[in-house]
Amino acid sequence: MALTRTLTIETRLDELNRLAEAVENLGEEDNWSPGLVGKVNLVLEELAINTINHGHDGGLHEIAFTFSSTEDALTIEMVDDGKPFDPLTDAPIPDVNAPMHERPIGGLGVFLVRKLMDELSYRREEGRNHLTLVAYRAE
Amino acid sequence: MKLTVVNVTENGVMVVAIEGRVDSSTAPKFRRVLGGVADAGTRGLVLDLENLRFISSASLGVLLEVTKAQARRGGMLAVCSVPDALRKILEISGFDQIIPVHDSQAEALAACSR
Repeated sequence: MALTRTLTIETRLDELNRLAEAVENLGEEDNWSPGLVGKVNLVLEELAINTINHGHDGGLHEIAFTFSSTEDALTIEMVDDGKPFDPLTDAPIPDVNAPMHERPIGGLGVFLVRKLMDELSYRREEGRNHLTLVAYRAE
Repeated sequence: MKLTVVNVTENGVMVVAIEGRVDSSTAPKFRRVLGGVADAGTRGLVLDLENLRFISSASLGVLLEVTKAQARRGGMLAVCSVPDALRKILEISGFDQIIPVHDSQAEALAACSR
């Protein structure tokens, strides 16, 4: 069940469909549970849209994903050359218990990433963000 | 993504079924269509999510916007028939405390009619 795949997308909104399709196909090929497919789909969309919208001051750039799977877990490394951004420390934590009128529109994407993944680690290396995400197969 | 009005009750509650994916690329359309439905003066809006396969933070933002708009004019928004994976997202984000979540359309309609 060990598998490694790579995918590179450009920082354009219409690339999100290709990313979602790749995740669906990989999930089928590697026998992910529907829950795992859903989680990975959501998390990668949130991270990619963040990089597309805020990562650069213009121009077309690339985001590279490497998927490595074992019997127990799926590991995804996401690499981009955008501005330094550590999702573990650089995004405010929303107050999810606040009443409706105090809830701002937005600000949930990175929070969902942190909540849905089992492990997250970040490093900045040679001008690139390297984010490693781990999701256990057991739910 | 597809939105279909499946029911409008005599007391002004509209049920809209949402299918497919509501992601960052379809969220603007979601905002336009759902906002239009709410702006038409619907007192109660029930979203049936049984066939919704994907929701992202962009679409949660739209739900919050429409919920706030409904509250301002004395209306409400509720969701029903939420698949387990999506229900988990609503719970994690605290949206289940803001938007009433019902098991079925019938339950949602009964709650909206009270």
